[in-house]
Amino acid sequence: MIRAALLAFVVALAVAPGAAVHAVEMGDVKLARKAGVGDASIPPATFPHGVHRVAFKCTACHNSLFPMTAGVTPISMEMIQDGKACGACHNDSGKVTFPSSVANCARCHQ
Amino acid sequence: MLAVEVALTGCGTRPPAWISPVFEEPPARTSDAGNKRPRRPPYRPPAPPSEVVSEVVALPDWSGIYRTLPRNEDGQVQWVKAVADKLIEPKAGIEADAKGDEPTDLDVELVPKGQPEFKVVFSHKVHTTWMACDSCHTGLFEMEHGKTVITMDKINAGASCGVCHGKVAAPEPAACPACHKEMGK
Repeated sequence: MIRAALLAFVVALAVAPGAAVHAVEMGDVKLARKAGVGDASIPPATFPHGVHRVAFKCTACHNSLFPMTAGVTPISMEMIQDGKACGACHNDSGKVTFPSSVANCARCHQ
Repeated sequence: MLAVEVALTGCGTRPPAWISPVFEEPPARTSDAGNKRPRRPPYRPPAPPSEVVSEVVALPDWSGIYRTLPRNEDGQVQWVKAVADKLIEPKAGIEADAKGDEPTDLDVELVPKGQPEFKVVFSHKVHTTWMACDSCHTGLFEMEHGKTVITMDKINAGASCGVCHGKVAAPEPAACPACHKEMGK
C-alpha cells in the first residue's frame, strides 16, 4: 500500500505540469554545437522562447542581439562571459536575470 | 546597673529604650526592586561591522509565470490573451526603462481571389505589440497592399507568415479561424 502510494507520488511528480521547466514547446531552440568545439560531455543549450517572451517583446533581442534566423548566430561561453549574446542579460550584475555561472549550467544545458 | 536591668527584663527580644540607639532596627524597605536590579547591564556581544550590501532586486519567477499562462485547445500559449488580460507585460528592451513604439492599430483584409470564405484579417495591432515595423517590412512583406503574394503552401514551407507561425508563434486563439475569421463562424 505504502509502496503503491509512493510510486503514485513519484509518477505524479514526473508528469506534473511544470515538473520540467523547459518541456519541449513551440519556439524552443535546441542550439547545435559544432563538431569538435566545446566540451562534448555537456549537452548543448536549449533556448526556451516562451519563458523569454513572458518578460520581453521580440524586439528586445531581435535583431540587435540575435537575427531571427535560427542557427546563424555563433554563441560561445566566452562571448557570454564577455557580456555578449546571452551574456547581455545573463551576467553577474543580476539585474535582469540569473547569471551564467557554474551553479546555473543545467538551466540552459539540459 | 546593667546587671539590674538584665535581671529585670531578662533576655527579651526588645531592647530597652535607653540602649535603643545601639540596636536600632534598619529602616523598613519600601520596595524590593533595588535588590533585583543587576549591578550592570547584561553583556551583549558587539554588533558585527556593517557591510556594504549591494541592492538586491528580487527577480520575478519567469518560468513560473510562463507555466500559468492560458493555452488553447492545441496546448499552445495564448500570448495575445496573456497581454490583453495583463498577465504579462513584456518589455521592448532589456533596459529597465525600455519603451517601444505604440502598437499600430490597423487591420488589413487579405481576400484570396474567388475565395472570400478564406478571407484573412491581419491585425497590425497584435503583431506590433510584439514586433517593430522593420521586423517584417520590407524583407518579408512589401508595404503596398496586395503586392506580396501569400499562399498556404509558402506558409507551410516556413516562408511568409510561416517564418514565425508554426515555429515560434501559434495561431491564436487556435487553428484556421485564428486568421481565416470566416471559417470560425
